[in-house]
Amino acid sequence: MSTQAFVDGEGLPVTTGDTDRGAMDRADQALVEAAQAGSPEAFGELARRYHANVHGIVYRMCGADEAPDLTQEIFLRALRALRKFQFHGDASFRTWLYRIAVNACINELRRRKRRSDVEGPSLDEDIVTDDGTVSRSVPDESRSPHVLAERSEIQRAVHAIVATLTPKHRAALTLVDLEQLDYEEAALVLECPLGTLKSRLARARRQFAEKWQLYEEGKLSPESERGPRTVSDEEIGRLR
Amino acid sequence: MKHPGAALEAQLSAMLDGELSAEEAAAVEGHLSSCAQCRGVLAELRGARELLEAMPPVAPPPDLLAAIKRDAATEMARGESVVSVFWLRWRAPVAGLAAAAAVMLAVLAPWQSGDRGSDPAVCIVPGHQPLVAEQAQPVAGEIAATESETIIAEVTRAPEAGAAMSGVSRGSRAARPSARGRRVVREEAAAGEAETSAPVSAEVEPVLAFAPQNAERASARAAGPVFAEARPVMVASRTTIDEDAELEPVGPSPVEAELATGIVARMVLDKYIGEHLVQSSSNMLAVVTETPSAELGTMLADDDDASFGLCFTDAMRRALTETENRLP
Repeated sequence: MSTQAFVDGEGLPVTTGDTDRGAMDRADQALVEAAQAGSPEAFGELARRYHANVHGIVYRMCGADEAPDLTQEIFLRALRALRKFQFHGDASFRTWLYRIAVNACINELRRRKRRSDVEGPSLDEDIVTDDGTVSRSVPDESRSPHVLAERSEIQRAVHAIVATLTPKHRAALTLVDLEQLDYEEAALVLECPLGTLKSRLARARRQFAEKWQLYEEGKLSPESERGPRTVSDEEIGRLR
Repeated sequence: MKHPGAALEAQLSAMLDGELSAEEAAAVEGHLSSCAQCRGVLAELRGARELLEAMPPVAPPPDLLAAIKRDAATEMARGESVVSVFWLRWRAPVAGLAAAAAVMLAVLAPWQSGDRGSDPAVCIVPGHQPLVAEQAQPVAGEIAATESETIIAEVTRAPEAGAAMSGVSRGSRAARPSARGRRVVREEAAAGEAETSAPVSAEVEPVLAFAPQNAERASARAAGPVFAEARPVMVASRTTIDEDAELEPVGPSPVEAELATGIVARMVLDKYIGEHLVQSSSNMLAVVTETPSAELGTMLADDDDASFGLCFTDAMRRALTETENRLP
């Protein structure tokens, strides 16, 4: 499949919704260069292309509550760092942007863990352990569009179990299985060797599968219609 | 094959994604045919993968994109504003630096050669008027401040200018001109001629690196329209010397001198001197010439804006002041 790049009325390169990586990268490059030269429209087009993916990564890794604000922050960080971005070798704008997103998510999870270590867990805050993060209770987000779009029990359970994985395992799973990146690109995003990516992904899948088994056996279940997951302390102990 | 282990688990997982080579896949399949435990692990992995891949994409909030664009527009507008401020603030100083450097090097170099009477000299002519400058008196001692020496010494590392400036950098009296009374530097080339010279381009190294014989070329560059726009026209032109004429001390305006000094001070403080001086100065001058504002912002963003104008030191100011005082 190929991408036919054309130029819109504002002189910005536009693609026609395809998946050809090379063409996408070339179109991205033109947009990045325009944005580096000071075009807000070019950066807006880049945001249009990738904001849903970035939001998806953040949603999977940090949860629904943080996703919109953190996504905004990620794009702002990207904009501020854009002047240093250069296309070379395997570096693509998408990879670079996803790396910013994943790092921001990992930092956010670490921040939560530090806060949790200092203050102790609050009643409505995720429990972050060395083995991953567990949502203790979830604020009411039943009216959020993105929650409405993902309210089937299975989907909520999948999301909840992903949220129990360690940040690095969660990132590997999110990029490959949820965002459909190939191994090479996922490894670039995570800045790790291909072999490490394979190991992380396999380990994440195994852990997910084991916890899914618990869910299917009724030992782990979303208890509330309001959120993706609530797990009791007892269940956390069993999961360990 | 190691079993059960992380390596095998990784290979089983990668096989599901078609990420194994043919040889690796064949080896794994061979193992699976005889290992029920690994077949169970593979089934687990496959189930997990299928569940995850079946997840629908998360729909972002409908107003998210607009918020990102709004943030970006605000940020870029803020950045553009900063660039504009920088542009207005430093365009003239950079022009001043270029002119001051051209004068300093072009004028001091002939002194070192001991052939100042016959070699053409260069002067700055503010506002197209002939520059009449007071001949420097012989220097009684070293350039006072250690910092001053440092500056000059470092400046001399610039290609081509090094040999000419080395005597000054060491404060060597023998290398300096003796007192010869007063002389008039009379403009020979018309200011208008210099004004119509080629526009200053991004290739600006010669401005700071020219040797005496390059003075005219460098002067022509320094006299380009961009500099004329940046500050009252700074014209350096080829001159002859009349030793009997009256002197009138003229040089870069105090504002220009101070600003130029500031930029030199900045370069020194940032260790942009020595072999980096020419390149660094080129970058600065490229700003003055034709660098787009966004690129300018990119360049200047590497600098600490807050400290950019705060790098004057008395010693550095004294260094250039003393140098300027020696200009004919």
